[in-house]
Amino acid sequence: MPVDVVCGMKVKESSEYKSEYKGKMYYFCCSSCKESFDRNPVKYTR
Amino acid sequence: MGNTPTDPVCGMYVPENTDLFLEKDGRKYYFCSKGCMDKFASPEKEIKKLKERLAVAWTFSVPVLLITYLTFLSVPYRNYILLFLAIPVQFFSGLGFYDGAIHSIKNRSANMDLLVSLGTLTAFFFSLFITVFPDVIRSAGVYFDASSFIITMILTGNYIESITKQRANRSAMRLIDMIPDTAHIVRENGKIEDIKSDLLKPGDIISVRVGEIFPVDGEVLDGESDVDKSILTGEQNPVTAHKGDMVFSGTKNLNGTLNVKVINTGRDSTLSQIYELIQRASSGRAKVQRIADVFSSYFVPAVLISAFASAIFWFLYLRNSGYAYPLEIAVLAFVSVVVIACPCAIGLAGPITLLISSSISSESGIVIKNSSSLDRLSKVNRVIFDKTGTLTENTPSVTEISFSGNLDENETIQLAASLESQSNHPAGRAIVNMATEKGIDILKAWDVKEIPGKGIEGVVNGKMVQVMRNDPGTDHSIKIMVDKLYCGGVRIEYELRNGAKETVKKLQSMGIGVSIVSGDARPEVERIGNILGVTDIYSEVLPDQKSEIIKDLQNHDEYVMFVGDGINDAVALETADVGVAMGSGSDIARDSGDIILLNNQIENIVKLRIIGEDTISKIKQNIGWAFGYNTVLIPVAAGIPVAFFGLAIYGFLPILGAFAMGMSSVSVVMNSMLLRRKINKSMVKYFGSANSPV
Repeated sequence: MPVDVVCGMKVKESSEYKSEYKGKMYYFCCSSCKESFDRNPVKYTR
Repeated sequence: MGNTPTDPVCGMYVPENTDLFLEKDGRKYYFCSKGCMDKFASPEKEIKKLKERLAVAWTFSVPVLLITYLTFLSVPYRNYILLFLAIPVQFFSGLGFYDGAIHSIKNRSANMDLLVSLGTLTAFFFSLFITVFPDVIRSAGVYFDASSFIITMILTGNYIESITKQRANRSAMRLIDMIPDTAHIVRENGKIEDIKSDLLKPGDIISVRVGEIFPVDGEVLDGESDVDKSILTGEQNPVTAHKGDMVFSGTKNLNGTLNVKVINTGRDSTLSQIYELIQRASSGRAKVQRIADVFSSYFVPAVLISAFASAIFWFLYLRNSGYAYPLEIAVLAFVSVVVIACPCAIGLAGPITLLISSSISSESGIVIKNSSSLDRLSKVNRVIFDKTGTLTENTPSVTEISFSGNLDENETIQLAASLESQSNHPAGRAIVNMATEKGIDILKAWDVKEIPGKGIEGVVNGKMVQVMRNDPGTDHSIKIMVDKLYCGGVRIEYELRNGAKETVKKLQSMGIGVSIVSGDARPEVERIGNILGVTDIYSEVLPDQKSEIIKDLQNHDEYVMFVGDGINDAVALETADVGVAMGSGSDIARDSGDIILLNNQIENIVKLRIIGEDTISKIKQNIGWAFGYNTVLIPVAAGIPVAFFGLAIYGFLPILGAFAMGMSSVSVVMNSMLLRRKINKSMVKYFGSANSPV
């Protein structure tokens, strides 16, 4: 099960909030986490 | 929402379709077991229930142990007496485990309750069978001691854990406990009545007397008093509240009665918002916990497989070797493995440390909004400070005054300050502050006209006054003209905040790079940089360019902390690996960033770094301990000691396993409690004292 890299919660792959970054799909629990990620993916992916 | 919630008590993931949930303060909480839900809903009641179960468990399991091991006592109907002594332990004291086990099966997320239930019920029913049908397996003995004592030991562990956790939580709870139950409402006819604080509404007027705590956030309507804000900000010096000032729930009115118009009540009050943030942070997850999550999801199935494997191994091996009691040893091996395994220690490793870390931070006026920022905080190797309002005070001060012309010094200042009192410009505020400090009266100004980028002009006391100021970002000298004649000039500068220099020095001594970013002109930023010993400066930077600077550093493998204004620097705070907003304790939900400093004490940046590093290292230590415990002891329970002590060791292993399991959770909790000591030690290392950060 993927983890929302912004808040750290477990997320289902069926989540409607997702973003692709450097060829990898990231899943989020809510729109606010997705927006934070999209603004600066580097912060959450290293 | 596609998220999987976590149990706020034990930190386990819980499917959202569980029927075990509660709503509290408008939030929904999900639980892995009924035990966790009861603990959350009413911790005191749960501890009382635990105490009763524990008393019964000890009362009956001690005689079980004595009768079992004092073999010289000849007890008639020995097995039946043991059975009747074991029943209350198994079915009263152990009841909570079965509830939890049933729910875990329903939710398809195996937990510790399932393991304990399986272990003790196996030992109990095996012994019951031997008692009732002694002739079926002639050689076998009964193991009521194992079934009873496992429950007793684990309940003892749970009890110690509950008490310790309650103590840890008390520190965060003290915020909410501060809010008084009653308030004195001022009715329209002027009558004052006592009502419950919960019933107050925005717009109500309350009277807050000397020594009382403000029950809500509000605006002072009448009166003047010193207010102790230390509960919110950690700042020990009281602040005087006048008419029009905001006061916040939880702070204390020290020496004058104030009439206050209610603005925020209940969940909207500052104190409740801070409490909510602390709770949310402590129930969140740090990245470092993910390894424990992966481990946990495979843990219970792996334990059950190990337990069955060791039971089958011992049964087949002993039967083929012609040993007399293969079934007994197989049962005991199964019970030992199931009982010794402790998923709880892994579940607790992060949440309990985060809870303690949150309460330590909040005591210093630091609010960590999300736990995921702690991992990044521990890696920070560059801190970028916004200059104005962060390294320096928000308002500049007058540093030089010169006069020429016919007017005296005080009259010149009076004319300039009277005009500037109509302006919000920082330079204007500096001149007004100087006049107030000198006790100069402010006069009425007429026909005031502010000329953007140039200054302000108007008529004061019948004279045409012009204060020609340049942008404080580029030039800090201001000319005062009266009736078109130059009368004097002042120079303003932004003064450094107390502790700014020491903070920069400490960060540098910790090997962390320091940069300054500002919208001001280069000479001014360089001036501040020179005082602080910072050479990496960025000047004339627009707010959105700040985030570009941060991104560039991040692309060069730097972990960046940005410290700035919570509202104006929102984008930079969001972009940085750790965004720290210097707040004022008000409207904290609006502030961006991962962390908020409620008291504007810049020294807290160093403390923050220490808290982040020590918290993550403590979580890692706990996870390591929990892994180590299970990795070493599961093979022990499966039979390794047999090689040294023979099969007789299985007479004690289930009980030893229960003891070890009970103590492993306790030791994780205790180790987390040491976080405060660890942070204090680090503070002493860097500052020579645990209390004063710089």
